[in-house]
Amino acid sequence: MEQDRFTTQAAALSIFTAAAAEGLPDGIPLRLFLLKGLCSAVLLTVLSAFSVTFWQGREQNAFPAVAAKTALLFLLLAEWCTTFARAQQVCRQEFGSMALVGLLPLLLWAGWKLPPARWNAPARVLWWFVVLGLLVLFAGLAGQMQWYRLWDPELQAPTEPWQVPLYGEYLLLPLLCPEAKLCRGVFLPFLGFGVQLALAAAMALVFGGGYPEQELLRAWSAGVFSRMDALLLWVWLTCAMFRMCFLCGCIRLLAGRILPMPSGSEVEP
Amino acid sequence: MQQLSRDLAENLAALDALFGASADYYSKSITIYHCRGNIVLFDGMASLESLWQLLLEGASRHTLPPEQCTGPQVFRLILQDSVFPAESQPVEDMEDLIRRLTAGMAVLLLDGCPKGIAFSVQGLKFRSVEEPEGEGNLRGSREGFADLLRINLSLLRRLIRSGDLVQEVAQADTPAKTEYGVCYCRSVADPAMVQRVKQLLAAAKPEMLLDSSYFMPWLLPGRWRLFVPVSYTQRPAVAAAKLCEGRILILVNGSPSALVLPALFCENFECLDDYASTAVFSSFLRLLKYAAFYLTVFLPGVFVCLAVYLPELIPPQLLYKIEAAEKATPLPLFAEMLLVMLLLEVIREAGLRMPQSLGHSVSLVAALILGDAAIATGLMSTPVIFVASITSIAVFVTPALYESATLLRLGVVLAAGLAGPPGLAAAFFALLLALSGTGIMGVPYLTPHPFPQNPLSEDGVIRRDYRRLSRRHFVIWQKEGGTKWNRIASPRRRRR
Amino acid sequence: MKNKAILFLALAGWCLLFLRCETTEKSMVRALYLSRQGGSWEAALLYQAPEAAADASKATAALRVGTGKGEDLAAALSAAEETLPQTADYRLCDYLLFPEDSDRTTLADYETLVLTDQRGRTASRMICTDFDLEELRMAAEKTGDLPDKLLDKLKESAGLLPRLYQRQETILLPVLEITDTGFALKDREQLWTAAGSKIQLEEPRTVMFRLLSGTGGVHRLRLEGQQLNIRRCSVSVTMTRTLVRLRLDCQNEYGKALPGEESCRQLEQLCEDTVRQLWQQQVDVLHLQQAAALRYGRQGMLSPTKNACPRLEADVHFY
Repeated sequence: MEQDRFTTQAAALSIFTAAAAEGLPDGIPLRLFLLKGLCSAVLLTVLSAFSVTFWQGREQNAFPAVAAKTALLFLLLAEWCTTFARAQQVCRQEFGSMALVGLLPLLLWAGWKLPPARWNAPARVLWWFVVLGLLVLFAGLAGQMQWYRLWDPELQAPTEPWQVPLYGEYLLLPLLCPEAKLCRGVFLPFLGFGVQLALAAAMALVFGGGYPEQELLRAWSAGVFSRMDALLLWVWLTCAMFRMCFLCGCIRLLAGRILPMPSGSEVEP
Repeated sequence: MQQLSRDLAENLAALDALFGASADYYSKSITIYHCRGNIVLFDGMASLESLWQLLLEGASRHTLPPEQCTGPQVFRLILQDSVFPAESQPVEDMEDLIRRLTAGMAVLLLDGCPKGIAFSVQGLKFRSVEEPEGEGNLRGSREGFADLLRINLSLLRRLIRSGDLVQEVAQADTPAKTEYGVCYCRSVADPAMVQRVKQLLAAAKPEMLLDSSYFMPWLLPGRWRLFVPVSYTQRPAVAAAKLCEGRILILVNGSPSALVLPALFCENFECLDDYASTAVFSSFLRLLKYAAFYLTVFLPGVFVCLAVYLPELIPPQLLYKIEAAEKATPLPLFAEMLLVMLLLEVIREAGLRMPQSLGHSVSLVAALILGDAAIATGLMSTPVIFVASITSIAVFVTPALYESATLLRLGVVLAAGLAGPPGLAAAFFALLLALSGTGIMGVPYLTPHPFPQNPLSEDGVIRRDYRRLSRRHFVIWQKEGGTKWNRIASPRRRRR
Repeated sequence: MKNKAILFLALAGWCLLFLRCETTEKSMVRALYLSRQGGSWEAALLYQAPEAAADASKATAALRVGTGKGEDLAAALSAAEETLPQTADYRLCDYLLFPEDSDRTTLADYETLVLTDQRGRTASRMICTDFDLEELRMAAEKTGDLPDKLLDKLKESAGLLPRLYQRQETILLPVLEITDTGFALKDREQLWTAAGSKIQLEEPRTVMFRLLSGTGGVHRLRLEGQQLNIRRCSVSVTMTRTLVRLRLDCQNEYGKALPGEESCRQLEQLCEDTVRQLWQQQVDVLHLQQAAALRYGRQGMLSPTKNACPRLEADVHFY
């Protein structure tokens, strides 16, 4: 049973990866972003908690459960495609490489065949890389952050509707993670919000606004090294590859609960 | 199984048929207590002097009246009522007879008795107990295992003087009937796992058994494996320490290398000296070893990837030297790196296999002159040779991981050279997945690997004071809540 | 078994289809010089392309200059790239040079190109020059290592140079000149205001501007009778509706005597005069506008275009 479960760390890493690549709304003041984002996070946390009670109190073969699983299956597929598209874009733009397409069959095979428990250790290691990467990022941008850029008298509230980022992990917690960790898992929306807020704050402090998010990484400079954006993007790319395999595993778990899957599909290296 | 006959001549005829053509087969007719008998042994394995000495000594102390000198009576007298230091278990069949003869014992066959008496008068010539070459250390025992199983078992018995140590010997199912020993400490080893190991070894059918590692495909079935969750040692001190942690040791007759299972990944970065040095220095060395391992695996690939795809991460002074070097050589950077790595492997292998008298000079010629000549002719460049040399040396900081590190290094270079940063990321994942998927008997290879679960554990990447570590005894079969290996709450001390 | 072999070969073929072997042979562009002459553009690339040397100790990589002209910026850069021995790589292009008579549209056009084409980055450091491309080319021909000296000077002055993404803010641009020994920064600098005007500033106002805007490094200031070397300066602003108090805490250079009362008084006067003068030219160097907005909301907003300069009191301390 333990082999069939991801840890909350793995799910959190997946959320972090998606949130870091999610675009920020243009021209929104930071304070408004903070308020709206916080409200969205609370709403998503409530939704996540509701989904926990839904999955736990529901007979798995009942029609509502099957319908929900099918809908979430498509959501996960859509998220997988989005993550792949973003990762491929990074590979093309930053590294001039199409290798991700070439490695796609391997990633799909690994995500499908390997049991979820195998991905938990890589998730822990990648979190260390993420933390180190964030520290490095901060070290290179701290000197460029100016408080006065947070306030721009010209900035008006945007007219586009506010988009709440919904990820499949929020709604699938009981199916993905062990029961003991569900209490922590329902607060994952705050992690996504935190990532977006940090990004928005950094953009506002460094640029004031009006630049694409990747320019924040390109603005990095410290000492002998004039650029570190490629390394930071590599860390994100590694997390994106993890996310693709993670979503494959989730899809397999979910599909296995909708349709009976053949056993013995674990692979021992 | 052919039983021994009551008729001495029949037994001798059977032995003659088997070993008559062998020059070391020795058979001597004797009369003992008025009973005809034959001493059989293999010359060079049993000591004739010891044999005659003990026979004469024993024979002079006791006599029997002639009417009581039948074969079975003499047999009973010698085995049970005399001072002859015979083996307690008599020889009952031909197979047992051959087994004991090939172990260096002498066997006394008596006319009219269907059993033989074995005497432990081994006088085998064997390599003495020396310091092993592969496991160097500054402090601690210098003894190493010898080639004979019995001697190795005695070395272990000398170190673990409690009644806990169990050393079971069996014969492998091979044409050569090689002996092997399974050692464990009764109070800390998992009985179910010990039983399982014994069953697996009994069921194993290797074609030849020359070393304990030959058992691996039966202990760990699987198609391919980068990391093996067992370790090898030639030091009785290390083996004894691992036995006290509940592990199982397998020794094979004819090889000084002991197989220890289960093993953990973090143990590859520890050694006998760790607990003999101060905690600070040991911690420093462990960090160095971790760094050396990851350096040897990733440095060539990262170098190629950075130089080609991410040049801004290299200081400009170094970057232009790399570019100038690549411009001067006919091959692209990654192909050159691959070539140099393979060349270094060839040099290493050649240095290992050739006679020692030539080994040093040939290595010198190959490494220095070849390298110089390659640069002078413009076939290879100095940055590449430098990086490849560093990795070749760094791998020997953790010799136990040599095979895995070499294969991984090649894979990382290929991945980074052909696929760039995505390839490097994929190689990184492959390493992580290979580590996390390895385990034996329910003990995961990475647990209790502290990084990154608990990097500041007491005996992980860094080591605390030994007095503090000694407060809690570490056993490899950690159980929590009655189930095996759910999670390690607090990583414990490991002894060497 | 056969199916597995075919599948394996197909997968390997798919992988290899998208994999390729790149080389390091690129011309690394380190700095960019842009000049707009009427309707056309001139571009010069300062690049490194080392000569081949298998023994890295013999490798040299002197900087060289490649120039080009075109109708638009992209064409001019492409023309300059064609003079390079290998493909241009802009990953290390950290500096942007332009003549001091350029305007903001030059920067705007270049930034647009950077965002679309990645020929440089928005964090490039900017500097004005009092020489044009032709003068640079002639000087480079006369002195072989002039491009190396140019890059060295740019690296040395990096802390003083604003970044491209700050082009819409008020920025102080040093002016570079060619000397007999190489390059030097002129005493006068150009202040480009957010409103779009250009102001020439001389010492000591340029130094005071840098102190007030929090620029790092050692600042050398010549006042009447004394040379001050200030290593680090923190500026604190305390605001009321009628008064703005400035406190400057300056770290004196090690080994030098602390400045006396007279020097502090002169520095305070210079500080107040600089803020006032710049305010009159619609430059809010202390960001009082933002500070007032945070404190009093939009109603209490201060603007150099609409409000008079508030009363200032400066207080300078050395430690």
